[in-house]
Amino acid sequence: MTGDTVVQMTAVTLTYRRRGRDPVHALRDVDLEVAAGERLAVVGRSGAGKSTLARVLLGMEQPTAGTVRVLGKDVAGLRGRRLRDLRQRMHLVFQDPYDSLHPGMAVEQAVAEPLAISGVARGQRRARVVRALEEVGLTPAETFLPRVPSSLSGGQRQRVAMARAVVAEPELVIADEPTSMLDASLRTTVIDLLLALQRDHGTALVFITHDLAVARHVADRVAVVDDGQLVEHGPVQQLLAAPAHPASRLLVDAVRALHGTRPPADPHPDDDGAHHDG
Amino acid sequence: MRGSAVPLQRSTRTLLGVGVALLVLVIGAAVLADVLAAHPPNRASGPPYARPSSAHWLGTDDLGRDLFSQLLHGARVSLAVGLIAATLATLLGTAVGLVAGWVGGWVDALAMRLVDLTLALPFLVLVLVLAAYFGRGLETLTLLIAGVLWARPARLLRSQVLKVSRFGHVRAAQVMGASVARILLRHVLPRMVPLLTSVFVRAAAVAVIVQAGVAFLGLGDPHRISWGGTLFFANNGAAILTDAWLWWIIPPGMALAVVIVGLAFVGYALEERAEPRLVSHGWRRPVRRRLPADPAPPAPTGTILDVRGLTVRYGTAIAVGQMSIAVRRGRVLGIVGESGSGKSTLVLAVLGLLPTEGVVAAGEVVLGDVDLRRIGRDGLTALRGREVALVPQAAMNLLDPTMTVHAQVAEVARRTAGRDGAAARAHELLELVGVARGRHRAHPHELSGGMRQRVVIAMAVANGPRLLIADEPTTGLDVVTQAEVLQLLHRLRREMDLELVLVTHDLGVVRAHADDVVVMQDAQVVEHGPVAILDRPEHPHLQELLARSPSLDGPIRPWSQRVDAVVAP
Repeated sequence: MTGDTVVQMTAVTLTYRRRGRDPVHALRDVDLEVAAGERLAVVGRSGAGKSTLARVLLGMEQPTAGTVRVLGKDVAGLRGRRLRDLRQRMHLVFQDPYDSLHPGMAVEQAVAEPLAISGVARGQRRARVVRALEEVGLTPAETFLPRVPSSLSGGQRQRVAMARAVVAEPELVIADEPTSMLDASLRTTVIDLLLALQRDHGTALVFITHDLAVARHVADRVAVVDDGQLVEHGPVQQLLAAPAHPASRLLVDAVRALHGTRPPADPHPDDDGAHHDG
Repeated sequence: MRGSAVPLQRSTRTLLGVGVALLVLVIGAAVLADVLAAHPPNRASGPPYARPSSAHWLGTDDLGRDLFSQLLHGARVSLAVGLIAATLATLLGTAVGLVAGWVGGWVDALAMRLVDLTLALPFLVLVLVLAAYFGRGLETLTLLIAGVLWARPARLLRSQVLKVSRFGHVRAAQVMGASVARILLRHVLPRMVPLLTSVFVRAAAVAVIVQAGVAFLGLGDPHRISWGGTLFFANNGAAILTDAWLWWIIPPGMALAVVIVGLAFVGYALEERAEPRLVSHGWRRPVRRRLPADPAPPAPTGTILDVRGLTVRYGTAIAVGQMSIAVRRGRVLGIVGESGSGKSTLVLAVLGLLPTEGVVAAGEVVLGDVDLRRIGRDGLTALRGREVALVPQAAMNLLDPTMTVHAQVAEVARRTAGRDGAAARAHELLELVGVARGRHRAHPHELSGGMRQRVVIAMAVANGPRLLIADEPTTGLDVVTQAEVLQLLHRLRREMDLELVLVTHDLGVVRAHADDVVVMQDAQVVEHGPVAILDRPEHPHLQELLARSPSLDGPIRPWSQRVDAVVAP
């Protein structure tokens, strides 16, 4: 591990300028730190800049201003081989887990990919793949090694994606809306797996979501992003209890409106509201 | 591209078999040419213009050369040219396509202009001009053919690379720190294999034809006997004027046909494998459904929609089994279940919109006092949009990208507002659902997901339905937008006096926004009743789902358990 800080963003601004159009400020003056082993949720509406933030951490976008240090390296200065070396120490969990596995690649190759990329000898990969599969509950692991994604259930594919996330022992896992496209039961499976893996490996976790209810269950700390700015951050419970910024309040209220109570149904003359047998 | 796992249709398998058999015949002739032919192909071995005999099975040409031997040896030339030119063209095209598609920018622009240039020039003329310039050797000709043939695979490959590079597993490899070489070789190229094989076979067929054509025009390699060359000499020797065409022109012509047809059949089969969507299933007899003899009893008072014992099958699979639901006046019905539980099929069956494979095997659907099974296709069409309207799943991503949202709403509104009133009505509708006037002329891509969902809802309610069914209206939207969309649906319910059915996988949404709930699992209803039943669920599946739903207030889930204790879905 590289000291106590895994991510340090200082005054990061990212502006897209296109000819004839107003510049788009995807990120403005963002300061953010993530400590080793910490779980941070980045919360905001669609288009607020959450995914841009992840892309900046992975060196897929270069900030217009400010510095981004990840695992002790200045991401802005990295190109080619050095950038790839840094990426090998982190892992991105995608929004759509089905799509993130190669349909023609067996589970063994898919999970071993981070190992192959970081140059682990072929002979040493299998044992680590087996261990990772066992860790995510795909047992007996040997029976899963030769299978292709199309022969797996949704939950199993999800687990394969999780095994791949931890097999190379990354120091930072970034999860970009990993649950927004999933059914309730799969969603919970993903959250449970991520948290258990985070705990067992002491990995730092940056969890990107629009849903504070999910954020509450996965993170210790939450950062609210709105219109490219980091408008509020602090311990989850504190933010939920007393959201200071209007954008945070909007997010809290939205979850309450979605899942909370609402006025009772319109009373209707020929409706007694009783239980019915359809 | 996942089609490699799809079995070929029987007719295609037959074609593949015939094609392979034809090619095997030609390959056999080429391999065994020295054994089977008693005479050399390019030296005189008998009198000129000999008729077929036991010594010369197909006679001899104007120089006394054995035509049967020429036929067998010609197979070697055709196969060699086809194979080598196709290999070179495919390799070159693949390399150019991969690099252009992956690197992009000026490299891409340059490569594609070169492709355009090559494809724009008339193919045979180009080869002829180049052959006249570079000389007549077979090797030169093969290279020239490859030098023209690479352009098509390059263009195909590039478009596929652009498509595949957006796939999750390619981006995943990228952010795992994989090198470009690894990404292209392990992730991109393997998905191209079915396409490449069919491209290769087509290129081989073209190369064989072009070589024969060039040789027939007398521009071929004078030292190598090929089918085209035999035809050139037959033409010069005036074979067509005597009955010599029977053994001089027909056999090489047939041989060429055999190779081309063989390659075409194999290519067809490979193409079907590469792109299963190309498969034509032919004309299908429309299913004639007999109208039930007795009308179903009307729905009880206060019930808008009554579904009784509905069963829907896809082939032998039951998508909806014996399902009964009732939509009651003034009460929002929530239908909740995971993907694959049958909730969307139920909705489609009610609207008479099942895909052709879907069959309503049993049950009644009654809307007010109308038995939907008895009104036929036209009756259902008249009913949709006017009586029952649907907000289809993910429809916000399926708006027409070439039309303004106003024009799309107006198109729907014409039905009741008429041609003259449609434009004004569309503005009204868009404002009603909360799309500001300034955005009415926007195209779908200029609007956020939430705005597009509002447009879809405006289209659904355009003709004043009594019942609105919203299939996953909030999926893919952020929580704030989700809440706004639900608020909108509730407002429309009041202002337009319509009944609402919410189909969703989100239990929290149903609990907060419906009055009655139907919980589906594996094509069955597992619980139904007022939403209050969600507070004390009886079914274990439901208990588990509720216990595992993240919430703002409940206890934080005890995640400090071992991973293997995480319940499998």
